[in-house]
Amino acid sequence: MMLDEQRIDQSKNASPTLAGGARIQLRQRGRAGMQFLGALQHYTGGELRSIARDEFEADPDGKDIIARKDDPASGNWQERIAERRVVAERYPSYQMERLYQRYVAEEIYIRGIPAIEQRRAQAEAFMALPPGPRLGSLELDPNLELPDYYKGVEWHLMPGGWDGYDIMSPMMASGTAPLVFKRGGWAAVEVGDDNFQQRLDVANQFRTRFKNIYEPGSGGSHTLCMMHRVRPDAELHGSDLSTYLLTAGHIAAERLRVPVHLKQRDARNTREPGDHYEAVITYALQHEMTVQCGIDTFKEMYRIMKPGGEIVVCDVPPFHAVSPFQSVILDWDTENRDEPYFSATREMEWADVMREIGFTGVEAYSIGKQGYPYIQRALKPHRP
Amino acid sequence: MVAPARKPYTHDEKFDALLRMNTELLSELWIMRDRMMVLEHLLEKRAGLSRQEIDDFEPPPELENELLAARDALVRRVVGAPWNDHWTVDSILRNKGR
Repeated sequence: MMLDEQRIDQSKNASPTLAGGARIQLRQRGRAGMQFLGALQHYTGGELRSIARDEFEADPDGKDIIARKDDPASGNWQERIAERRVVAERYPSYQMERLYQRYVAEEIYIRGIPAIEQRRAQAEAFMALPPGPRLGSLELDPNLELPDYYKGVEWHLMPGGWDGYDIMSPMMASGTAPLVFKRGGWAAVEVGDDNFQQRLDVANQFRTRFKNIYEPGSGGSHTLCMMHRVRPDAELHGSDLSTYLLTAGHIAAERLRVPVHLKQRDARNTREPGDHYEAVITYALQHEMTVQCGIDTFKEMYRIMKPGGEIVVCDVPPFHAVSPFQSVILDWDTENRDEPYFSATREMEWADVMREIGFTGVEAYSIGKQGYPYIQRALKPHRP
Repeated sequence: MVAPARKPYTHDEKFDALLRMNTELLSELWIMRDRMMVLEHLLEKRAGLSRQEIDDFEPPPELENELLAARDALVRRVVGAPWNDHWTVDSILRNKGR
């Protein structure tokens, strides 16, 4: 296949962590349609949500909920959020902001897929490894059994899930990310937030020196490539369940000339040696697993980490760490953006789980607006 | 298959549907405006036809009549939609629609 180099843009405006910084120029209709979604989400996720928040906080029942200062460690979170949702849903501002949030979440695929199909030849070329020697590696395991909790989930309303569409990676890199997501206002990402900068900020949360790092759920290698920016000498290792994400992540890393070593593994059983990695990072992974799977993943990370090693976890904040109104916004994703474990995993403070497993020096804190990104950081002790 | 939303966001399916239709129209409007701006830009760069010239252009009578008819038909079709609920072959031919 001939690669139309002119239409694969390696410009400095393209995010360097998305598919290796490459991006395909969409046709006018596709480009303008996606940009419209970006504008719609920017307005509704910013101004309209702010009105909805003000109305919630001015409502007599909303004031009562805020004044109550519920104990985060006790009580039923679903009952609490149901009570808060009743107040939020009284107002057209909230109703319409949520409708538009859903509309954009659907349309990034409904119009993103036809838009990238019009550039299929370039998109297929985009999914090919760049010329030259390989710096990293990819080990797929066709016999790996996918866990039940993962099967059939169409994460984020993505038709067919992570492995459902062969040119999803160029679609995201060329349409969704630069034209819609870049403006913020989706899920826990606030309007004006830069997803790229957030990932960089998270990569900078490590305090220790390390020579190797492991990321379970490494997806498209975005976080590992970002780690390379801040720790260029560290060996980078990752794993994921998705064949498609691992393949796209391998191509992206090779295109960026970042040596990333990827394996298809279940995060609860990485088959890595014990006491081996000096650092572990997870990025937006916890909320895509059941609670038990999250606990088992932390146990596995503890096992493969060297004593003295450091772990940094980034995810959406737990409900106790955000305002009552924001807890309604976050909880909404569970039913409305095909995030089946979102709420269950936000009901708890994962720092407590990490302490129970044996991590020490555990900290939990936010480094962004409305509690996101939320960080848990800890060390594996030299002596358990 | 991606499942539809479980309940209407505005508590009313019809209102949700209207808002979705309205948003689709707004999107189409933007795509057209974007294309128009691209066209104007290209006309200026490649054919030397400035945006100022388009702004200052006074339609000649034959074009003005065409614009008038199209404008009136659009207003009638959109604003009159709730009342255009019965028709005949003649009315369809006369109104070029309902």
